[in-house]
Amino acid sequence: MPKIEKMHMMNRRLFFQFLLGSTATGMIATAALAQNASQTPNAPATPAVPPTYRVPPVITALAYSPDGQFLAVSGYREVLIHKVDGSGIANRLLGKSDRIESIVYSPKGDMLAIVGGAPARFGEVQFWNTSNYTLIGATNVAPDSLFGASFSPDGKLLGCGGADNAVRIVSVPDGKLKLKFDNHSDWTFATVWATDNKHILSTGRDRAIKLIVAENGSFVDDINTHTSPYRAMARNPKAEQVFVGGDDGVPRLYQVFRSTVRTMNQEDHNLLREYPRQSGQINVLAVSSDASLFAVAGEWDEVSVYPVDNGGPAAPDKPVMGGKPIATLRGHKGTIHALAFRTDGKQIAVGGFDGTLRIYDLPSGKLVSALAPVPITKASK
Amino acid sequence: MARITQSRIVGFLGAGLLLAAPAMAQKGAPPIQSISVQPAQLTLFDGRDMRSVLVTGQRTDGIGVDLSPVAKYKPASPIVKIDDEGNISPLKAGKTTITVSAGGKSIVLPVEVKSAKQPPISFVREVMPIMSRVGCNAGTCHGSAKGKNGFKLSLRGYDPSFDYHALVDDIGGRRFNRVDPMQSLMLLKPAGMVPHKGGTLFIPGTRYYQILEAWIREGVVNDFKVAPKLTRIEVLPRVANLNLPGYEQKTLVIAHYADGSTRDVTKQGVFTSSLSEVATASTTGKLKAVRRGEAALLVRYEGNYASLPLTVIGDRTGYQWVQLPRFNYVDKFVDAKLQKIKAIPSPVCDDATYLRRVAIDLIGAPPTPAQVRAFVKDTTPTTAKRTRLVDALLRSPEFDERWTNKWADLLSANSKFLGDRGVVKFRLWLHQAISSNMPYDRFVRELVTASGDSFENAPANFYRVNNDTSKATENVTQLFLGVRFSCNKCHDHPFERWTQNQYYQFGAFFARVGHKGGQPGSEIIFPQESGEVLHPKTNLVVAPKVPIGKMSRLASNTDRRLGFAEWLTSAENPYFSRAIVNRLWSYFYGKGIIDPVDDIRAGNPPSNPELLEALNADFVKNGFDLKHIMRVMVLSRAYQHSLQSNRWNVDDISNFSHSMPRRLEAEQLLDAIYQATGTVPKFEGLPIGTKAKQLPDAAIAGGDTFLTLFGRPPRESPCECERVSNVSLSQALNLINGPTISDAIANPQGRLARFMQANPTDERVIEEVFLSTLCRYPTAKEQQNTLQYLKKSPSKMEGAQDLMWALINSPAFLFNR
Repeated sequence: MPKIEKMHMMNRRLFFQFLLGSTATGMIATAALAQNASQTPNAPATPAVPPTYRVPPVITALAYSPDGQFLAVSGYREVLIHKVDGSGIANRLLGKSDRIESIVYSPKGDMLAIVGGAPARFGEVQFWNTSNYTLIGATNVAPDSLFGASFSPDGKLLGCGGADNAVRIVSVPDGKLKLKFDNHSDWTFATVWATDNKHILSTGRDRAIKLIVAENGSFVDDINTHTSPYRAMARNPKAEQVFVGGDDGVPRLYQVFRSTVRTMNQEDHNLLREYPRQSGQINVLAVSSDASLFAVAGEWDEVSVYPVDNGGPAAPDKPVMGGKPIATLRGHKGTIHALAFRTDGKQIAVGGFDGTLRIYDLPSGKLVSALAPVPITKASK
Repeated sequence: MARITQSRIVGFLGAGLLLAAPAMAQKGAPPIQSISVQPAQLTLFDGRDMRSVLVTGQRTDGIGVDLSPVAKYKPASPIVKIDDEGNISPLKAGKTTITVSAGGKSIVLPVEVKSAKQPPISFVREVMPIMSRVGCNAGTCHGSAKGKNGFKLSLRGYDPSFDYHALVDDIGGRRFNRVDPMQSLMLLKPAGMVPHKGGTLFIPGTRYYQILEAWIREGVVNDFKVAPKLTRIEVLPRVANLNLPGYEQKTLVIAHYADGSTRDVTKQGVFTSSLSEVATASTTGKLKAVRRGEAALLVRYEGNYASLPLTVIGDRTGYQWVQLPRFNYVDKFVDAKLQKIKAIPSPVCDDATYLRRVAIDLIGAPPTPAQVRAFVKDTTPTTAKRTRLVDALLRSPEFDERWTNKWADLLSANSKFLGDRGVVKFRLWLHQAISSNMPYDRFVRELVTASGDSFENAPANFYRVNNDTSKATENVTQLFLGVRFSCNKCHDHPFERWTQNQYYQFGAFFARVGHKGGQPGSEIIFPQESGEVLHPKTNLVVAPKVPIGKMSRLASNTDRRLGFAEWLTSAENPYFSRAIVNRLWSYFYGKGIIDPVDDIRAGNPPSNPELLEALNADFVKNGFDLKHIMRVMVLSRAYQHSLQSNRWNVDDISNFSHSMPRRLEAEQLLDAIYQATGTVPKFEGLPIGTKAKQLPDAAIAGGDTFLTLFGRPPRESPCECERVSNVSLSQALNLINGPTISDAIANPQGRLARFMQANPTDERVIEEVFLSTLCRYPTAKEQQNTLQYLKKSPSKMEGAQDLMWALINSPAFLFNR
């Protein structure tokens, strides 16, 4: 293809511009990128000019601070810290990652971890101090985006999945890689920790929910049979249990540790509860902090909120099937990617393809606000 | 390429030479007498509609040449702009004309611009075709069953909804970025800005890049529910006649939509030449002749397929058509095609050749020496004599045996499926159907609608073989319609219009065929009241629906097969009758008019469509009479052409201008060997003298035997490919050294042993051996050579055996020619 090559030469000058940001927005963000790129872990955050938006970006991640004062919302190359009282944006956390895939507050609430990256270029972990929202450190640890971050219960370690199939555990807050677990055969989208602080669970497109010893990466068990590729996992905060959801649209609750002997028959021994099939692939699951409700959403335009207890005592080998949602949250246009329960469980934040942040009251399911989480600038001609 | 060509032309102009395309610019090429454009007028629907035309020059010698690369365009008013490559785009709405000039001639092209406004980018009409064109959704890339590197698209874009979700919804919308569209992964990857195993496919600034970027900027709008449906694609020109190697032809692909609009999609089309040694096709659809021959340009655009038959005539200096007598309408169409490609048919073969050829084809066995002697001696005029012969063969019991065996192959009459008794019952029914010359439509209806105990109503065995909806769907389509439905079980057919939905809709007709135990060894087939086919993607029940045309009555609840069988076998079904006519033709001519015969599709066009239509019309008019259409075929002059080719048809392999040698089928060969050697076959468990073509089951004389070696079908599927007709080393070794032939020749009760008892002369021995093996008299030279050999042999018997062995091993025996 000599023609293409020739044109490629002509456009070579543009190459770096494309890589580093192509529009006015991008060029501004490039400044932040250049500054952040030179940062070493633990270096203080450098103030940078935030991006401007002509349209809101897709919302990919949401998290409430444990004190219930702030809501962190993903933007483009930044996370916006909204005041929950509705009085506006408290902070804009500018980073190097184009895409923010997961936002988590540390158990004590003193830190915020952001994972993401730039597809096919790098995957990054950022730690921010929540007292003044300054960057503690940012580290590139992977060749592509990272997903599904979770703090260990003691807050000393952070786990995440990735587009290179690996599960990574980094130390907090220096971001040093402590463990790379390569046992999954497809992308890993979610991690959660067992309450013992010793085990981490991971799942993804290869359908397995793997139980791993965090300290040395020893593989303990696939706690499930491989029913569906999984996109989301959330821990039951009150029990050694995890919710999972994925391509087949069925939310499931598993116990983490096996109580019956594993056999060759691949029975789903650890399955405790199975909820009704949703209208499409599940992208996200969230559990209220009192473990009474969980919410599920994905490739359709509603959120279903279910009581965790869908009837009967749950026991291994005899899962409780069914359930009825207590609320169905409507108003979104397109796929939903992010959900977060407010700490008191009385509100839930929802975001996705349409870029509008929507807050609903619970259990009524009433929409209380719908806003663009980023400042929108009208395009100048 | 287009640019290079143009610069050359400019060079010619500068030198003051005659304005011409490369094809024309040859020394002494006759001048252009007129030019024409295709399409004859243009309508541009919106601001992104870009069109071009084909400009064809007619030379004074009658040859058409493509002048598109050198044509000049001048619009009468500035409502359109035209670039250097002849692309016409709108500037404002209105009507005008463009004067097109080439080869010293000019013509006026009316143009209407409906709107010059830029419409929003359409996902279905603009984004999806780009992904197909650059190959994102190819089977080797993201269209493979598991996708590539975590990103999966539907194969060749058959499922726009799936692809939209993959691009927009998957993994948090990872692949697009509407805040900064140029940072979208779906642009960075194909533009080579980030590592991409698929390489750099288009770069910033190009049309494809701009369209994708604009689609993202406009908010990744999904229009697959509202965009007008693509109904068909049209390729221009309709046929391409490239005179000499090196000649080029531009092609245009026009997409037609349900709302009546059209688009020039040449730039998004995918082009393949069916035979690149005849003509190559560039990625832009430009054809270039390589050598004399015929091929087809196959064009694919968004799940629609079209083909353009193309012929490279080659240098035919000195060609003059010679009209041979025509025996029936077949010859009219064969001659017309031969004239078109400037070939001359071989003359009609001699009587002995015809007798052997038609006997093997109709009754599966060569004639005996007595039959040859009588036929050659008969002084009745050739046509009348051959007609009488064919009528006798069609009436003979051996005809019934031969064609019963053929249908037993196609319908998989195999004890594995039917049990020993079932095979015999089924064969008996087939035999009755053939011997009574049951009309083909009734024959198929009886099979497809069969119910009852398979021992009592033998056609019910059809459903013992096709015992699930998938098998029934795939076998009914391949066998009775000549189309392949196996690809679209998992995804829309990659080379045809058949969709995955159609596969399951078709299968639903067989969903209520019940099976239960009958007499020991039999099965009762019965229509059930329930039973559905589920679509694997949605898990929903699929209602029965025919893939083309309409059923004359709806599928009844009592038996869905009844209305279906009517539709299947109706004269209006464009596939049913053509498929069998074409299949029969291939048995007699060695190649179908469409070939392979059970893979009818746009990409596999007929070599002589008019001939196929005429045969089909005749077949339908005569009540689907198989014997009638066979008779027409074998009595045509085309069937009787000699094997010997001439200067003008030596390279013809698809227009029936000379006979094509076909290796005898396994059963024919074995029966011919027994007949030539005068021995009697013995198959275990069957009466002595049972012929190979009478064997009821593929398991008899199966395993590592002569019949297996020579490709007898195992009767596992209805595919014609089950019968192997190649020639292999192990076959040659078996013929030369194997026991089958040597034992038969040396058999003490055999032909030679009996013949020698009368102590015949050497000349009589030679004649007998030639007549019994090659079914003809020896030539004078053959007689002379073999006489010498016999004289040198230790004994007359040994010499005769050697001669017979040599002739059986010769192509004249092993092939029907």
